[in-house]
Parts: sequence; C-alpha cells; structure tokens
Amino acid sequence: MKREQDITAFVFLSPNIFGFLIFTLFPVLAALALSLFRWDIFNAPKFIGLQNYLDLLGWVFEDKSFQWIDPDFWKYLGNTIFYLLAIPLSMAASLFLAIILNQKLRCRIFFRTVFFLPTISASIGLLILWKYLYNGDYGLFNFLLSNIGIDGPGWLTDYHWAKPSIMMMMIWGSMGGVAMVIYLAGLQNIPRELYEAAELDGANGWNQFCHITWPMLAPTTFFIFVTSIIAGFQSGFDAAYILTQGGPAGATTTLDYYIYNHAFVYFNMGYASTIAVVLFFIVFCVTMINWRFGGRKVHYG
Amino acid sequence: MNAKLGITIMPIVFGLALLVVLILGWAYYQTQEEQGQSEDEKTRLVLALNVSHRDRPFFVETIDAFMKEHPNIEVEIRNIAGVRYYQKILIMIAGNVAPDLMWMGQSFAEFAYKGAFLDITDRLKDIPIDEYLPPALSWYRMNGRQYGVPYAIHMRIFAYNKKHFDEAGIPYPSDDWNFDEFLEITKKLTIDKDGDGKIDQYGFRGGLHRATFGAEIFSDDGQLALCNTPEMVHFFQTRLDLAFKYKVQPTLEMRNHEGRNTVMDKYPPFAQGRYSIIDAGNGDRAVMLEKCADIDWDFVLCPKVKRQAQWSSSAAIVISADTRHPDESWELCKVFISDKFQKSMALSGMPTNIKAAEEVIAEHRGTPSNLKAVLRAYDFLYPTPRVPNLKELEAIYVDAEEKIMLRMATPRDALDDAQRKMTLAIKKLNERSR
Repeated sequence: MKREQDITAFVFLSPNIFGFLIFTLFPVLAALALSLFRWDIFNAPKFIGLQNYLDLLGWVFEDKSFQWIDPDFWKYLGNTIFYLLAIPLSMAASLFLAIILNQKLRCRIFFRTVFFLPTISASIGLLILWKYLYNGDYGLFNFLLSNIGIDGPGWLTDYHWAKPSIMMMMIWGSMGGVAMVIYLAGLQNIPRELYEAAELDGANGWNQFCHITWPMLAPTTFFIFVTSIIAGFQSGFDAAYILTQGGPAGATTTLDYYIYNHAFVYFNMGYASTIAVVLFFIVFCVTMINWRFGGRKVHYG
Repeated sequence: MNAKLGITIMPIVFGLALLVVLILGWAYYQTQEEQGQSEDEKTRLVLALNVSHRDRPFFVETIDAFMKEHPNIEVEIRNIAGVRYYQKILIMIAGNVAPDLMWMGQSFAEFAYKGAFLDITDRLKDIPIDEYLPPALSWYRMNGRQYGVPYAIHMRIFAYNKKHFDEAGIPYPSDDWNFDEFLEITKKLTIDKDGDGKIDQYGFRGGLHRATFGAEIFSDDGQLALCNTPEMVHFFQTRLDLAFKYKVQPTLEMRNHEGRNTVMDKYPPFAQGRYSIIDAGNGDRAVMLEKCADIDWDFVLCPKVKRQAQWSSSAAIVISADTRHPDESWELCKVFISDKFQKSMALSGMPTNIKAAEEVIAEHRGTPSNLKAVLRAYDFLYPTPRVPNLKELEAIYVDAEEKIMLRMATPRDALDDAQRKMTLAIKKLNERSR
C-alpha cells in the first residue's frame, strides 16, 4: 500500500520534476559547462578552460594603470546594483498599501484587485504605456510639468534621468504585487489581542506600528527582502529591451541585458554563460550574507 | 519517501525519460520528412523576409507569378520584420530549420563567415552579371566566392524643405556642395521665429557621414580598429560643433526626445517644418511621400568634407547552405535579381542593375525631382565594412558616439577607449576563429 502511494505521488509529481530537469536544471548545468567554451552557435564549441572568466574578471596593466579587460561588465553590474535601491522603497510602498487595504474600508476587495493588476498585466503593454508617459515631447509627465512652468527632462533619453526613471517604473510595478499580498497575509496573522492590549495601555497608531506591527512582520519582511534581492539582480531586461535598448550610453544596461546581447546579438554563447555563472555566484553570496546577518535579527513568533 | 522508493521508481524515471526521447526523436524525424516535400509531391521552399508592410505585396505578387510558372514549387513566406530578424534567422539555422532562402542586408558577413549560404559563383552565368553595379556585387562576396546579388541599394541622402530655402532667399543646394557651404546654409536656416530664445527651426537634423571625413570604424578586413584616427576625432568634433557651437542642429538629448531616429520619428518633425535639412534614406521614399506630402522637398547628396561619400547598405535574397533544393531556390532567387523585380522595388531601394536604375530615373516624375542624385552617388558608396562580428564592433562605436554626443567624454578620450575595446574584440574574434 505504502509503495503504491509513493508511486502515485511520484506520478503526480513527475510532470513538474521532468519540467524542472529539462527546462531548469539542464540549462543551468549547460550554462556552467558552456562558460568553459567558446561557442558561436554555428561551429562546434571549443574548450578554453577559464579564459572566459579571465576576460570577464581580469585586468591588464596599461598606460601606467590597471584596467579591467571588460569594463562594461563592472559598469552594468553597477547599474544592476543601482536598481536594487528600488527594493526598500518598493517594500515600504507595499507595506503601506497592505496596511491601508487591511483596514475595514468600503470596496477594499476592489482596491486589492486594482493594486494587484500591474502584476498580472502583460509587462510589454505596461512598458509601452510608460514609454508614452515618459516621452519628452508629448508624454504626460512633461505635459504636467510644463503646466507649472518646468521644462521636463528626457526621462528615458537623458543619461542621468534614465536609471531613476526605470526605478520609478519598477517601484510602481512591484509595490502592489506579490509583496503587498504577502504583507497583507502577514498583517492578518498578527493576533488582534496585541493591539487591544496596546490600546488599553494608551499606545497610539504609530507606537502600535513600531512595537507590534513591524516586529511581528519581521519574518515576512526578511522573506520579501531576500527574494526581492534575488529577483533584483535579474531585473532590468524588459525595460532595457523595450524602452531604451540599454542606452543612453549604457545607462540602463543591466547584467541580464548584457548576457542577452552577448548570447543572441554577438553570438558569444560561452561568454554570455560566463556572465550568467558569475551573476549566479554574486546572487548566491549576497543571499548567504543576508541569511547570515539578516536572519539573526528576525524573531519568529 | 524512503530509500527503497529510489529503487522502485528508477525504472519509471528511465521509462518516462525514454518515452520523452522517443517522442522528441519521432517529432524531429517527422519535421525533417515534411520539410521540403508537401503531400502532393510539390517542392516546398521557405523564404524568410525582413521587409515592411509596404514591400511585402511586391514579394507576394512576384512569388505568386513564380508559382504559376513553376507549378511544382510551393513557396512559403515568413516575414520576420524588425530589428531581431538576424537573431531569429540565426536561431533557425542553429535549430536545423533554416529557411531555403533568406533576406540579407548589413549582417551578411556575420553569417557568410560561418558558412550559412550557398555559393552561387558558378550559377552567375545564368544572369547578365555585367549589368550589375560591381561594388554592390562585392558586398556579397567572400574569399572570392559569390553568395548573393543584391536587389536594392539603400543610401543615406539629405532631404531639404524647399520652402525654407525660398523664405531665406537661399538657392537650393547642389550635389557637389562642400561642408563650408553646408554650414553657412544651416546657420541661415536656423531660426528663433517667436523670439523666445528657443530655436523653432533648425537648419539640420541628423548626422554627417564619417566617410566624408575620411574616417572609418575599422579596416575593410575588420582586422584593424580605426576608432581614434585624427579623421575620426575631427568628425566627432565637427558634430559637436554643429550642435553646441553653431547650434544649427539639436543636441542628442533633444533629438532623443523625438524618438530613436526611426522613419516614424524623424520625418514628422521634418514635415512640420522643425528642420530644414535632414539625413534621409532613398529607401524611405514611400514613407516620405506619405508623411511629408504637405511640403515641397527634394534630395541632395551629403556635402563633401574631405571626400564625397554616401553611407550605403543593400538588400539581397540569399540561399541557405542547408537547403535541400538548391536548383529550385536558385530559380526563385533569379526572380529577385531580375531587373523587373528591382524596378518594382525602387521606392524602397535603388536597383543594383544599372540599366534598371537608369530606367527608374528616366521614368520618374514628381517628388523628389533630384532622384538622379541617387544614381550619381553610385560612384562613391561607402557601406560599413563586412566583418564577421559587425554588431559587437558597432556596439563599441555607438557607445563611444553616445558618450561624446551627450558630452560625457571628450572625443579623444571616448575614441581612445573605443579603440582599446575594439582592438581587444578583434583579437578575441581571431582567437575564436582559430
């Protein structure tokens, strides 16, 4: 009987297991292997050992100074890290929305749906919408600014404005999404008695938030932070692809887009895989650091 | 699940894996069987195109006529229009489902170096090859072997608003004008109409061609980076001066406000009178006739700086090296090389068949009245050299260009950096080729 149950369980799990093996594990292992090769898709891959890693992370002594062999990688890593700054802001916005939606408001189901809409809408459509909003000449933002006498910037075309503009868009897209729903669930799990006791002691709303809500949400916050960091390192591709093509002057190119360019524009599959592997290790190390130092400060229950 | 379970389920895992492999293998076999041979024993050719909705009907009409003439051949068009065309073609080739014939332009060499195309050198005796523009033929030649014959030439050419010239009392420019004349004219055409301190009409929008300065990104064989030559520095300094010193053209930031320099972005402002001269394309004639219908405009060649030069590109239909039907593909290919087809496509690119091009000019009436300038430019066409890693090298150049034009770096610094990166990229390419 037990054996039959196990077989049944496995049969039900097998589509997912095979999906994972074929579409996740195999590509990951293939990328790891390909990072040791030179491959342009047409010709047979050529084993070159760690050369791709040396080209990516190495440096040369030239003109009396050390220079990165691939300075673009470091620049785009910087862009990627810059986008991570959106995470705390996005989390704060998600928490704020969750607290609002946790109140006994009229139409709160409607508002929950509305705030979640960007998450389930086609990202391409949303990006094209943002492209029009950001347009320097006839976009909504510059139109509104011009009404109060401000000559708006080229949101996506100015080197200094392009990254913050995309960050703003990211915050908008993620604040009402999964993080808000998780926070909402977290809020609903906080025992009501704690607030009642605090009220009896004369604590105001802010004190209740600081001493009950925030500490009780620590595991939720930690989970959202860790997953957002992991996702953040892999973000920016769709915005670069649709809105800016990585420009101006590489200002919005992230490591994801850099990988794509090397793989499918320059046909350097081996080098693209190397960047992907290095990105994996960066994400892995950052996550470990988060667990090591952040995890300690989280109290569960 | 316990340890014993591993032993129990292993046969199931292997069984399922075997099943997946068998299904995939069968599907692949079926695809290979069906590819090229339809049910009624017709030879089936797949033609991949990258053409606009304006050009597609010409191809459809031509192919319909071809299929009537060749009832045993069926042609399927796959139009993959857009900037990702080459990527998709590459993936099709890598996936062993390459189209029999495919459209090719600037990226020809990237594929040809990889052996993607059928050598048609020995088949050229079927066509009057002497009638074709020799440089255009050379663009599709690699190591002495011919892989394609382009059906159209696209070149950068200036378009100007005649009304602006009339209002300023300036005679229309001639094809042999030089940079000094160009600068003087653009200064006169740059006007702040309402006196609010902002320029309402710019003399120029676009870019001069580096080849007119004697500059090039890299050598013809792609083995030498030429990013930081004095000619290139001069070229960029002149572009900066036009935008920031003489203010006869908008800065890159201002231009970017209008879009990414596509045909949809640059012609409407020209039609609205915001610019007097723009860099246009002879292949955009159909778009211009539609978008700029309300103004009187004409073509003029780019001004001479160090030499006269027109940036150019081309389009050809080439045959896949993997086609199962080389003879039938060549039959179809010949149709696209024919002067009849080239003439029908003249709005999107001038024929490479010189006789056909001359006929197009002779038969042309209306706007632009100086269409013959396109034919005159046949003597000094400068396409980007055909090299295997064109996109990678061009990306380095474009990055430097943006840094200079956004004034994030001086021309010297940005170009020195580009030179270093490009030299490294060429070295890497050579290592990859070994």
